[in-house]
Amino acid sequence: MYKYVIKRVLLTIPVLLGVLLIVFTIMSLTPGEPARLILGASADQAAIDAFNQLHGLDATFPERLWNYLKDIVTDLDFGRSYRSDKPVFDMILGRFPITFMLATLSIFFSAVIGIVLGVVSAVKQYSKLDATLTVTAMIFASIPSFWLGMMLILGFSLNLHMFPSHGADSWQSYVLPVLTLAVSAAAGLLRMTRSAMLETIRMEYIRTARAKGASPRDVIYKHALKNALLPVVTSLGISFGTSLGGAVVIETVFSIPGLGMLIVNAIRDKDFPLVMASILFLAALFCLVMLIVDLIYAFIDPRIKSKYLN
Amino acid sequence: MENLLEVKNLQVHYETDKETVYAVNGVSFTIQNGETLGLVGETGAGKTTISLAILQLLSERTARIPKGEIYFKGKNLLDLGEKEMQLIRGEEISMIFQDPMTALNPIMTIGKQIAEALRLHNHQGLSLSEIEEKVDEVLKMVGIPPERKTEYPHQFSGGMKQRVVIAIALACEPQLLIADEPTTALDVTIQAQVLLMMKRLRQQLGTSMILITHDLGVVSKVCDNVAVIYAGEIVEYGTLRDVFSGKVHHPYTVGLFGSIPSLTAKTRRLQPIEGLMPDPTKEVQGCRFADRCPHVREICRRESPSIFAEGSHQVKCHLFREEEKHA
Repeated sequence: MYKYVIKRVLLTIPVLLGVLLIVFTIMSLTPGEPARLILGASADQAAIDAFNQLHGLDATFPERLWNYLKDIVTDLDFGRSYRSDKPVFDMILGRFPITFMLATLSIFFSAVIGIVLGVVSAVKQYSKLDATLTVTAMIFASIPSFWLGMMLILGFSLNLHMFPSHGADSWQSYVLPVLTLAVSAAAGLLRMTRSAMLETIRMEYIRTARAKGASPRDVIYKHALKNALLPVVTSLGISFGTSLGGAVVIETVFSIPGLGMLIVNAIRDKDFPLVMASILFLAALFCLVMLIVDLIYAFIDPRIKSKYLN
Repeated sequence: MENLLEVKNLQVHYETDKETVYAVNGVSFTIQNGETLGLVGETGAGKTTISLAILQLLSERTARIPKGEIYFKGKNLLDLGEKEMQLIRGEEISMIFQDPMTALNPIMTIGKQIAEALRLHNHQGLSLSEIEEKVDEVLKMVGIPPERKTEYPHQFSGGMKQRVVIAIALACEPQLLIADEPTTALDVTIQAQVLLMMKRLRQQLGTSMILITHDLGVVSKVCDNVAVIYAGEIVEYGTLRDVFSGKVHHPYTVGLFGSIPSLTAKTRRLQPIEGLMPDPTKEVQGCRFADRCPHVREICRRESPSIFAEGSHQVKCHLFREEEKHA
């Protein structure tokens, strides 16, 4: 098992290197000079040249890439933000707790709601409840989250004054953004859980359990649910990654000072080191979550576990 | 002597929005204590539907039982509620399913799957460790070392999995065992092993059995009585001797015997039964076998045949009607 974990951790290195190359290239290809954006339109040429020389922006693309990689490998130095001149990871780690809180809360609620309603929907297949849940889930899965966020602000903040429309100062400020993120993730999970459950309750071993004299309820909770959860766990992991990305949009809509806002502003400034480090950080986090998902998988399914052990 | 199981004129239909499938059309048979009945017939004849009807495990949404009674120890199972059926399933009647590869829960140890049956019918109030002892005992009985009870189904071969399935079915020492093609998914050498073991265990426990199969060889080794099923009807019914060597036979039974290879016969080719079973979504007038029957006559298409009986042997065919014999 440890061998497998070490192998998986080592495998994230090429993944992160690939992400680094792609983002670095895209950032270099997009128009706009960081010096102009940060120093302002009125800055004179001498100041701009000085800025470019200071940050090594006057070098060619391969040279800049080489220098960037060299700093990371030799000193683990990801650079300083052009605008604030602080080490990038200090900035990222300062903002990350808010984003992490958003993503974790929304995944927690979407998992609870999505899995419970998915099971109910599958068990009561073809009932009115099932039809209602399926249609509602489809509607919520297709609503874009930024629009839903704006509608929630309109309804609950501007009209009803129940929750704040922006910021991250109290628990109330998390309600609307978490709701926005959780609703679409829950809708997806509901559909996933429902179809996995429907597939599982038609399996032969379910009939074996019924033939033993188990009640329909026992069969669903002891035999069907655990088997049906296998694909759901994977999609839960993926939606954790998606909600980290979705937080970028949601933080903008709700003006929450999280990692998402940091990235959006850094991209606007073409704050090279900050963008690179933030995205690498998110990618690494995503790899970690997927590793955890695979380990949970092995924990649930003995067939996978024995494959890892060999 | 009272019958352990008596199925009377059982009909099962599957109803969907589009069509009705007439799966079982008036089947009657009886089983006495310790007896084995073979249900023989080709795929789709309604054999599995009959066994699921006995256990009341048919799909609630589509299956209907418009007619018939299933008496088990004098009680009509069709009148019992779900709770009462749960007490019977696994304890008094249990079932072995066709495919051992899919009949076991892949993420539960086999020990737990056997223990579940014992726990569900734990009238003596056995403690957990006593149940574990019983699991060991049952595993030994089917020839699996008890140490392997902490293993998962994927760690067992097909034949071993079927032993586990049999262990689950026999754990509570049921009075009636329904075995739905228990050896079809296994290779031939393992088939013989499993059959022999089932026969031994049944004798040991005094269990009656319904053996569903399309393999006449298996029937001849294991069964006391045989019912040949065609398109949801019993076309021939009798003791093993009646059906295997009696004087009169239903043309379908003759066809079934013609389609198994024999080492001694001189013929080079097997004789398959031409044609297919009638469409089960259509109600049939006359004999259901008429379209494939080499002896078909005008009356066969008009009237459903009645039963011709000679002692314990019954054949449902116009060929043996009284007036035909006198003519």
